[in-house]
Amino acid sequence: MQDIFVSPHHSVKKEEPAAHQELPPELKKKGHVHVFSSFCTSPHDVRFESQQENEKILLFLRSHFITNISWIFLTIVLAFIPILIPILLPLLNMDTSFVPSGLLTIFIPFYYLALFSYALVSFMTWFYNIFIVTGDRVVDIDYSNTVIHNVAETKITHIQDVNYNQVGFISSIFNYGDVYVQTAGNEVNFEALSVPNPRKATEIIANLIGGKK
Amino acid sequence: MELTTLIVKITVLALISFYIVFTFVVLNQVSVMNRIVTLTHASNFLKIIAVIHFFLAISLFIAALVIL
Repeated sequence: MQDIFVSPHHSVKKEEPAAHQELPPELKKKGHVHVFSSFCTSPHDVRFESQQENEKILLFLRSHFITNISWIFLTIVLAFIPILIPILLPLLNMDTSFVPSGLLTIFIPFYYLALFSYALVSFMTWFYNIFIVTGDRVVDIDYSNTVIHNVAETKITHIQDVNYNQVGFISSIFNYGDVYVQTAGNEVNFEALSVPNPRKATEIIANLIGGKK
Repeated sequence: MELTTLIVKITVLALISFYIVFTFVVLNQVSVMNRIVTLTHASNFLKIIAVIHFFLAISLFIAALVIL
């Protein structure tokens, strides 16, 4: 039977697994993650539990540090309260002589310790919420409410789409936004909220999955 | 008055005891999370802070036992 249509010959580009692709120059340079880092390409001093021997972390993301401003401000305001109370009480003609002095000696350090706990837990919530991209996988580590943590990972080849949004005045000024990674089928979608430089992060992930954004 | 002072002392010590348990939970969570993801210097820094926090809570309990 004669051929009805013969398509012009074109070579089909086989998509290499991301791990074997040539890395762009920005991902070849080793980065360093410190206590307050929110964005780092190719960090050499980060490891996660299920990381394989030859698996390299290409992108390390956390929420922008500016997102911590609310609890930092609240901590500073609350820190001043024990200092202001002895000044305000005489002005309000309040008698506190019935309070044992020993109780105040214990209460004030306890108050500051409790305040320190609040600051520490708030910092840990920011510190341990991490989004990691390696040559093979995407790992999303979520930490909340002191005792709740969740680790989700998916292979780069399972990622269908990656996009970001940047909404609001503050996020525009400080250049942070949300990056969304959509996976195939019934798998959970991944999100990195309020991360710095979301455009670059999206570009890096998109290049890894073989698309151009 | 003696009874009132005793009740206040027991209440304060109980509160600080619960707080010590909380600081221990925080310390434990720092260890767990450092196992999940390790940042060479930053993880150690946070662990030290959590340990100091725990021992400060214990010190406060001892101080309350003595002072109150």
